[in-house]
Amino acid sequence: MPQKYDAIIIGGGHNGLTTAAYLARAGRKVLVLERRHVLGGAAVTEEVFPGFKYSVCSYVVSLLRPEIIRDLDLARHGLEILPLDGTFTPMPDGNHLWRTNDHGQTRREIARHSRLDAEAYDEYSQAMIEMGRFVKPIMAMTPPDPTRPGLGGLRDLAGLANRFRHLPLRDRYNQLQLMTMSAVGFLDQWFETDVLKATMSASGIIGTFLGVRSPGTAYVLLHHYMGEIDGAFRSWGFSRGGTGMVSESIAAAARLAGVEIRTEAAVAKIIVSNGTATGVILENGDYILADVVASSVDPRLTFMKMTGAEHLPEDFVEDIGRYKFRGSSGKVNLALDALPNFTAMPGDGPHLRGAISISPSVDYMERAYDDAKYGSFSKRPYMDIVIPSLTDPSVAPPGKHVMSCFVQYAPYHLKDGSWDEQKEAFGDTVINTIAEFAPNIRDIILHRQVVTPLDLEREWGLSEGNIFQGELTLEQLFFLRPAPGWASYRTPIRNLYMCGSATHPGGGIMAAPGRNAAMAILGRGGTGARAKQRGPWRLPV
Amino acid sequence: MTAPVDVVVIGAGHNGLVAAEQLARGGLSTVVIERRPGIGGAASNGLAHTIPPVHPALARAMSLGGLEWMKPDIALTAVGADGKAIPFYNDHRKTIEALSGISARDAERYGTFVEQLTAAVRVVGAVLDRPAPDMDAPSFGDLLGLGGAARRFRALDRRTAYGLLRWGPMPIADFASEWFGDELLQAAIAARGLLGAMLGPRSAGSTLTYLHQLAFDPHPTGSGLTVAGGTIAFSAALATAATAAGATIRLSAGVRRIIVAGDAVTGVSLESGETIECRAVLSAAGPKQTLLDLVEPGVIPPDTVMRTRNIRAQGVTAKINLSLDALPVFPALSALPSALGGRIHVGPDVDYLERAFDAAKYGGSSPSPWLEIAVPSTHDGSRAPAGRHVMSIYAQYAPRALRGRTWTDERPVLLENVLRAAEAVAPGLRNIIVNAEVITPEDLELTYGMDGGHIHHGEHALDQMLVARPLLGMSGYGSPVRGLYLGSAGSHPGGGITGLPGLLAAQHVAAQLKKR
Repeated sequence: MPQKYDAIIIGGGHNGLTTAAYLARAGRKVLVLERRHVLGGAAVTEEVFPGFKYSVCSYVVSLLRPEIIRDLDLARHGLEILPLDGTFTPMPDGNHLWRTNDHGQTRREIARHSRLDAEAYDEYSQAMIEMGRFVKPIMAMTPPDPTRPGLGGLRDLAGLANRFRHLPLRDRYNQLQLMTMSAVGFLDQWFETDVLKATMSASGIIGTFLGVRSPGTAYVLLHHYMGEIDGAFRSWGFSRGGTGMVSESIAAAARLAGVEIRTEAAVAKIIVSNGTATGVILENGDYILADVVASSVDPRLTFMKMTGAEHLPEDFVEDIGRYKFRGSSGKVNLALDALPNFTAMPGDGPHLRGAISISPSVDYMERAYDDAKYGSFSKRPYMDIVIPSLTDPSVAPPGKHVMSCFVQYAPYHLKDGSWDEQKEAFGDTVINTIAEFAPNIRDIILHRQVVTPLDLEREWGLSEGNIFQGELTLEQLFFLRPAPGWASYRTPIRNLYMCGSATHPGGGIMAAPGRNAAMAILGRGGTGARAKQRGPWRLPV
Repeated sequence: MTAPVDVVVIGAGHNGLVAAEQLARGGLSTVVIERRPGIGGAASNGLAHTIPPVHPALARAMSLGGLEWMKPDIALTAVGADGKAIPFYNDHRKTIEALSGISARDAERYGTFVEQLTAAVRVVGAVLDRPAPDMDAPSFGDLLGLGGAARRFRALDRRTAYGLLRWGPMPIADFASEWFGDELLQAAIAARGLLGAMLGPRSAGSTLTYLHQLAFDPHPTGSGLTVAGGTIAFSAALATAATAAGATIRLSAGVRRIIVAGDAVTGVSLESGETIECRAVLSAAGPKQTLLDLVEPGVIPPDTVMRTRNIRAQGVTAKINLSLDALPVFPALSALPSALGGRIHVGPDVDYLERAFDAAKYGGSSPSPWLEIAVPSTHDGSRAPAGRHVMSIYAQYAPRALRGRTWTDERPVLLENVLRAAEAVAPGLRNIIVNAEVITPEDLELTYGMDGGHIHHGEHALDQMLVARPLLGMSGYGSPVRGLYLGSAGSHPGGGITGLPGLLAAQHVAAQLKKR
């Protein structure tokens, strides 16, 4: 007699766990199944080398929704966000750009490069905060289907249009541009300092296969300002104990609510009978029944591998087939014997406690992209580097440090050779690039872990190594994520739901998809005809 | 002191001429002033080698008699490496047949492609042949128009509707590869999304420019229409219609200033020192040139000036005109005798186009440019003496703003690169060249008055279209100056030889002047 649950969640990452926690708090009997031996998915801390704890994949907490922190009381379950203060960009000529959370100081720093830009920076920050205010509510909303919006959907769309119409002309203009322009194109209108534009625009390309001059990369600039609106807590920062602690704290909240969590329990198949999901079969042969199955793994795995095209409409299969992953980034995690010494700002100091951005110029960023376009990793890649051990000593032995390097571009599809062959060459390229700015780096490396897009796919189950479970590009956002007509967290299979980063509002340690999905499952979230169907338990709204 | 008129139209390009005809016919005394000695602007033989079909809205508004239209059997032939050629016929069945010899799958999908696209761009068209809606105070007409577009959208089958939503923001490279497998086929489709745009095939949004092109000519590669006598004959017909309606066209008359008293236009002063008083000025010159150069500084509010400066308009297209003393030979076309009736695409795959764009990103012209070649003299005897020929080449990328070089230095380099690329498909071309004219984006800006040398007077990007063309809050053809109106390709619905911006602007001006 197989076990029976109200809901099974596939994948124990931060989104899956969030969905589980919300469902359990609504009184459901929930089981979370995680393939790996640790929880967290890509929000995971692992002691790769004795004494050195890495946030192996994602490395900073970005936009974790405050309502989730409150609802699940994550602080009590061990979540502590430590400050990630500023961004330090070393330049080849020995100069640098160092922006911090102290607006005045940043203004003075920018003035060193351009007085005009320092003036513009105030106006820019203000404008971005206004924009963020406009966009923020969209993140917690279930996208309506524009081809058959239903009353609720029409109301939502009309509401958006109306809020847009009532923005001051200037903000409307900025909004329009932010949603459509390239990051550099947008910043060109405000600033003249190349290194400033390069560093700011970098956030626009993370997780996409686009360059900083490609339209559609501007809107991510907003994310960095949304934090300020969330107020209360720091939305950009380190999680004490690594990003795994985010997942751990959500897991703790889930367990407290009665969620059962199994690790090393890989799902082989989702059981579908007459178009309805009724449970899952594990790779060890066990099968478990449930009223609802919610998958936090990406659509390719969920539908092509676990569900099977034979159960799905042709159009949907086609859409999932062309849903774009093409991971473009890798990770290099280092164990250090001492701190890197940057020529542009020698010695230890607060500049090492924030992000260190290897983005000296817009052309540098573009050339890094050019390499990837033609199928090789960047000879001189863009990097976003953090040294969490400076802020959180618990992740490294005394006097030692961990350094996490996010590296782009590293295209999943290589023109020549395989990632297994190129892995170490990629690692060397990263070290050589860092050495151009911090020559002592080679002498202080104790251990080096190279994570390629292929590793992300094999070990962390991210198809084609895309860190966001699919590119965050305009044609894959909002009501188009992950497939047109299926942005409501529902799927063509009754009682099968999606709750991962491949759903609106997408990737990052936001946990918003997990929460929105839970609401949809409980019949409380959605708009539009499809979403108006209640969850299987016919709950009152 | 010249006699006062109702409206001065700046520029005798297709938009200026269409506007003049409409205004004059409406009983307004209208004078068109053109800086160059000839009419046509971009719609002349030196520049455009094809014309989109006359838009129904224009056909309704004015008659364009006496034009002999020529529709080629093959609209465009894509020529790839090792003599491979893909003909795009105006009869889609023949294209499908030709494709079946290359890829059964692509041949099969081409039919669906044409079907879905034709349906989709009808929706796009519905918002392009009327003024962009006013977001703040939508008029009855706006709602009607939007209603129409919405109706057409709902009428689409869901696949196409979703497609339309997805396609716009996509890189044309992804769009093309979603549909087709053959690289040359992909490149030929992609290229049309890039014409005039500071975008590469992998730049997001390049599919939007493709859809914009299709809205005016739904053939996947453009149907390659021409008129006997060349594009200038089309402009001449517009000019004839305008004069017949009572408009005066004055050539070699450049504007120095648009005269503003208080907050309203009172006239224009010409470079000759002459002044023409008028109630309204309709400028078919680019919005940047009009607002930043032709109007006295200080008149336009600083915020508008700043936003106008920020209109992205960097030209990337160069034009090469060759006089030949023999018919050029394209070995790849030996089996396609009618191919020279249309155009030849040179750019074997998407990577080739992308690399061509890379050069422009760093402020240089493409070492291996993408070319679109036409040899009009093969089907229009009036274009060259017997036995001789003219070859017209669009070449991309040639960025207006070069880094560390001037266009004077770059001009011969550009020509050399273009000829090298052309000889790859037409060996021996150099030996038959009698004369070569190179028109750089700098020429397009300085001689033809196109903003930034951009053939559309500004990028066709999501943030520069519809309600945001030329500027958000200014899409209704008006400007901050009473009596000054903008009716160039820089206004809605944008570039391409359609005359629509001029038409819609003129209708607006006529309505405004009636009120006053």
